Amino acid sequence: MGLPIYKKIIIKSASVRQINSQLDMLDFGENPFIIEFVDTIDDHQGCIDTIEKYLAEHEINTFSYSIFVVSHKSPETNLKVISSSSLAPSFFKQKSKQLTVKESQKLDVVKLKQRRLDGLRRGDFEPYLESYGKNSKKISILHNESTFYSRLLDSIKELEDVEK
Amino acid sequence: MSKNNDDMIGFQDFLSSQEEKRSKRSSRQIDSGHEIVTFLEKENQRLDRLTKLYTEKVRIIKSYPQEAALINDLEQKISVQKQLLQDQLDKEESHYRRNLRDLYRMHFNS
Repeated sequence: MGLPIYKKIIIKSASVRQINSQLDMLDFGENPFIIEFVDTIDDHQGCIDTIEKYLAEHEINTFSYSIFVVSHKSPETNLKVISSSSLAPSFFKQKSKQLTVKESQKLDVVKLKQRRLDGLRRGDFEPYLESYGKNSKKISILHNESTFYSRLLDSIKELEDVEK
Repeated sequence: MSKNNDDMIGFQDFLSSQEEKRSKRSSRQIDSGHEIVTFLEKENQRLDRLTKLYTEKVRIIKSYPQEAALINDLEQKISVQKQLLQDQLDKEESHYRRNLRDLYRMHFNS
């Protein structure tokens, strides 16, 4: 039982079969992952599409632990793209070591909560959160517009008062 | 006694260096132990917050949606503000009209 720290996956081939077999060996939902490509792979977009298709087909939750992709080619993806692995959040950068009894007990609780999160179904909350986010953005834009008009009206009133 | 001290000369440096190493190692072990415990406690809190977001908060969003009403209120407020602004600017002696008049006078001599 390991700590929930970054696991690095190095994609060595762009072939769908090899990427899928690499992904088959991973425990999603227990660790955040950093996916890197070897220099010989140019088609980052193709590989990322394969990874996204795999995640969708296997209904893998990425909401407890993110999957970061290291790429300079700004691919179109829902995964988080970073230009260097050092830019991944430092929170999960911990050294793996033999755990003490106290640490193991804490880790047990973490694993329990991970399983609880894993049991949630994406469809139960994702559409609601998505629309909530979009609407919040719209509210913020409208609020800014209204504040602008208020300020404009106030300054016109001030000018009129000065003239009077 | 002095003979005993002479016998220890060769060992004193060795013993003191061993003690230093031991004390350094133990303090480092304690530090990294605390780091892991703190990390796991924070991770627990993070997972709790995520669970709360995906369950309780989403339930509230589903049961009591407020965004549509808020958007509607803001849109109405903006339309009133725009009308007010238009009325203010459209006054014969408003700064806007006066500035426009001056501008036309300067450039077109009308």
